[in-house]
Amino acid sequence: MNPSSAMPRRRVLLGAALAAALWRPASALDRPQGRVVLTIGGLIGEKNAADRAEFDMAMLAALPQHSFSTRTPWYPAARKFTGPLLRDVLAAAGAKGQTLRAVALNDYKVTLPVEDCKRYPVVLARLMDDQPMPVRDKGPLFIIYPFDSDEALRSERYYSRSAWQLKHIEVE
Amino acid sequence: MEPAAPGVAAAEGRERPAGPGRWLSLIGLVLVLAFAGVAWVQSRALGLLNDTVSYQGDSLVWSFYQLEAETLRLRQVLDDLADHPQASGLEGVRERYEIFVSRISLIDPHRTRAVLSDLPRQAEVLAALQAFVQHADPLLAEGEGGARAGDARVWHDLVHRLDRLAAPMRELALQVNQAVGEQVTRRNEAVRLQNRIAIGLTVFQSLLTLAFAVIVMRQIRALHQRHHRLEQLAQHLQEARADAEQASRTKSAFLANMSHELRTPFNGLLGMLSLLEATPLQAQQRAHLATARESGLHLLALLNDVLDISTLESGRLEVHPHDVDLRRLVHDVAALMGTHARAKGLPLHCEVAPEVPQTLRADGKRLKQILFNLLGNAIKFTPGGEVRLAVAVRPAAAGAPERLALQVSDTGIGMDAATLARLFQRFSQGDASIQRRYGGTGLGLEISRSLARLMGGDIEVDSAPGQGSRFTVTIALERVQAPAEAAPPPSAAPVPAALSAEVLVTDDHPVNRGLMQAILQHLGHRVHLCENGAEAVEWLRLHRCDLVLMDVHMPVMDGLAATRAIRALPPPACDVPVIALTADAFDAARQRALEAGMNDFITKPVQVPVVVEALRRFVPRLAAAEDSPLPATPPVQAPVQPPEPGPGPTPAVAVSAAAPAFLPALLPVSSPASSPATGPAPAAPRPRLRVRRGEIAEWLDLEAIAEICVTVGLEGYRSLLAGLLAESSPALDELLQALDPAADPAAIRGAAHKFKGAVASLGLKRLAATAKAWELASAEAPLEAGQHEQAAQVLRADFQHSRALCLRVGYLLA
Repeated sequence: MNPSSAMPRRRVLLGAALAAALWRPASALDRPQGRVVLTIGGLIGEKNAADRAEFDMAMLAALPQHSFSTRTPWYPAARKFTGPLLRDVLAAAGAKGQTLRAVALNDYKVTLPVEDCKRYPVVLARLMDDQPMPVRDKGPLFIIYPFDSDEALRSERYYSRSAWQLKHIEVE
Repeated sequence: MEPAAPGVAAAEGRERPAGPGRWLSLIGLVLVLAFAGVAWVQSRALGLLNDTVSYQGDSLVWSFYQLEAETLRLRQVLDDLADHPQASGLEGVRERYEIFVSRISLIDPHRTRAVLSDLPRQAEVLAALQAFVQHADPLLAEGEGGARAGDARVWHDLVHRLDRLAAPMRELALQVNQAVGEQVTRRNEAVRLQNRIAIGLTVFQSLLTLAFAVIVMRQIRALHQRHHRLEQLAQHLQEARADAEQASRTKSAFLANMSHELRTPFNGLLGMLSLLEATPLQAQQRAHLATARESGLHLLALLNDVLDISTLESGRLEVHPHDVDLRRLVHDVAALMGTHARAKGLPLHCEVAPEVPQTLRADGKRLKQILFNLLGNAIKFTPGGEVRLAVAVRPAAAGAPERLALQVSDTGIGMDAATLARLFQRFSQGDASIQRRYGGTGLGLEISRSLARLMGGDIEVDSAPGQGSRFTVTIALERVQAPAEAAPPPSAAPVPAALSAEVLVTDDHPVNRGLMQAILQHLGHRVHLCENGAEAVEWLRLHRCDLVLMDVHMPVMDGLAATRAIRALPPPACDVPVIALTADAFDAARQRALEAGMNDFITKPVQVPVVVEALRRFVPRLAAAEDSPLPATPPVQAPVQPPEPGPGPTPAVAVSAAAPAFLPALLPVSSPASSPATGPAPAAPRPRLRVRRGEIAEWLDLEAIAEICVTVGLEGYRSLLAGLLAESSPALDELLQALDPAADPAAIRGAAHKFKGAVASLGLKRLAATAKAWELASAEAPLEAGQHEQAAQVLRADFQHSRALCLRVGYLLA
């Protein structure tokens, strides 16, 4: 490693971080640039639309990403899921409620407690096996619990809370 | 499982545990199997539940109906697009189409196969759907290849195609519904079956547990019953043991009583034999008499052994330690046994080590008994050589306290190891041949060893055949500070009239009464005699006395009952001290006497010092007088213990070893030359008095004297006689004073009567007759002048002749 080249890069990073820290309180939540894939409504503090927070795929991809492989009832083999933690997404929207109502494209609705997101690393998957998920393959967003990490999760309760083709979360 | 019928306990103990044990283990095994079955059923149920969760949970039926619903929604939006061709409508179609496609994968066989095995229309419907997708995908693709919103024909065509799919899809949904229903039914049935199995298993298990419990309960009950039986058995055994012990005690007591009862007449018999020997006899008669006497002696020794062994058996053998002059004791024993040894031509050597104390605390009588036994054995089993008695102190060592060791060794026939092993067993002697040859009961050694152990020691034996034997008695050596001589024997001198005590003697036997009267009068006391307890109680109602001497065994009312009656009298009569007179040597008898209220216990044969001591203890003024003797008291000392220059038995020896001591002492009556070695002949020369034939029988009541000797022993008699027939006899002096013409004539009769009683009680019948004659004479009329002197002369002469005769015979020692 060359110290003379490393030094300027570190300084740039430091400056960017400083700038971000200073700039962030001024602008609450960016406006989505691309197509909106997720909206969050209800008891939220951060809004970038009339009464809700809207996210495009880039905004979700900008959040810290997590991935794990797990078996599910919907695929014969284990699949790798990647995406931001649901709690990070909720934090980005400043969610303050206790329960979430997830609504899918096909109008599937399910209620899950916010507690789940705190207790488990629930992922809002946007990639499956590192590929974006089309709607026909339960995309574009899929709430995935780490089923293989905890036996308690392998039950109908959590399978039903894993909403696919997710389009909206109502914080209540 | 049948518990064994009540029967032989031992057989039960062996067989019972096998049956129930096998059954219990079998039931236990079946129980384990039943538990395993239940576990299996439970795990199966859990598996079923898991299946349900994994596959049915996503609700296949719901998937099929959703697909149908999505189909309808797609058809709807396509229909709308065909009617109103707009770009936004196309977007909506595309979205619905994507959702529709996503639904198709949910009815894929790989998902449904696990739950619904075979759906006839599934493949067909799936193929049709995939065909539709293949057709629709390019049309609905975004960009150049896709159809435009305005292509109404395309959308109509798609609607038409979807309509054709509707019917098979509906049918498939119904099929799935039915299949799932079937599936649920099957699953329910499986669950029901498993529940039934589980219930069956549980019931089976309960029954087994019940059986288990029943067996265990029966076992416990059987155990209880057995316990109960054992307790009963133990109780029976205890009762039987108590009975047996009671019987044994009764037998022992009977044996003791019998031997005791036998001993008394036997002593009389032996006494008579001795007196017979004193009469002129032919040589053959004398030999017969000697045989009879030896047999008698042997029999007496046997009786003594039996008495001891029965005491030993009843656990009442006790030792009574007191201060003993050991050197004197050893000397006495050696002197007595020495005569036996010398008779057999054996020297008896006696050595007492210098460190042996003069005095120690032990039971002298019992110690003597042991030595007599061991020395007797040594003499008996030693044909030639010598017998040795050595006394030494065995110093304390290795935890053992200091002991006195008395060793009896001989050069006799000795014993082999087998004989040694049997030696101390009852009735065992060396061997049968020895028993035949030497006789004896074989009880002596057992008694001796028991006594030695009671005295804190033991008896050790060392012997080899032909090498002689060495018996060592050890006893705990308990030194005493003061020598035994420090306590002088109580004075047997008569007390002055001022101190004279009133004593009530109650005894059914005239000789005993007479003897006690003689002793007490000799001691200067007043005596009243009663023949049984009832008389004594009656007398005590009306009279006062200082002391009651009471025989225990009497007709009409025995001593114990009489004592209780006396204690029940009104005061002060009830407070009189009562001392038992009995030949019963057992401690139990002493205990009974004390319990009846008696104050003390004097064992027959009565010894004068003991009587003096008892008087001193229970008549306080006598003790006080002894502490500060009146100067007026004439210091007349009746020689209780005559000075003996040569070895001879002390009074104690004479009493405890009555048989050996009794006869030699009496033997001097016969010709001294005939048995020089059999008795400790007094060394002092006797006055040579010519005794004519029949003179002794004329002057002395030999029968009465023999009885007295049986009772008090020869020494006791000698001391009594010595007191009465002293050179200056107080009894005679009293009578002579009364015969003084100046004295009160009325006193003569009383004095004569008293003198007569005293001499008669000691068997001096001629002197008693003389005294009686003068008593009668003075009773008829007052003596005339000169008669006093005559009477005094006659009495003096008869007194001197009686004295000379007694000296000649050996009743008096010079």
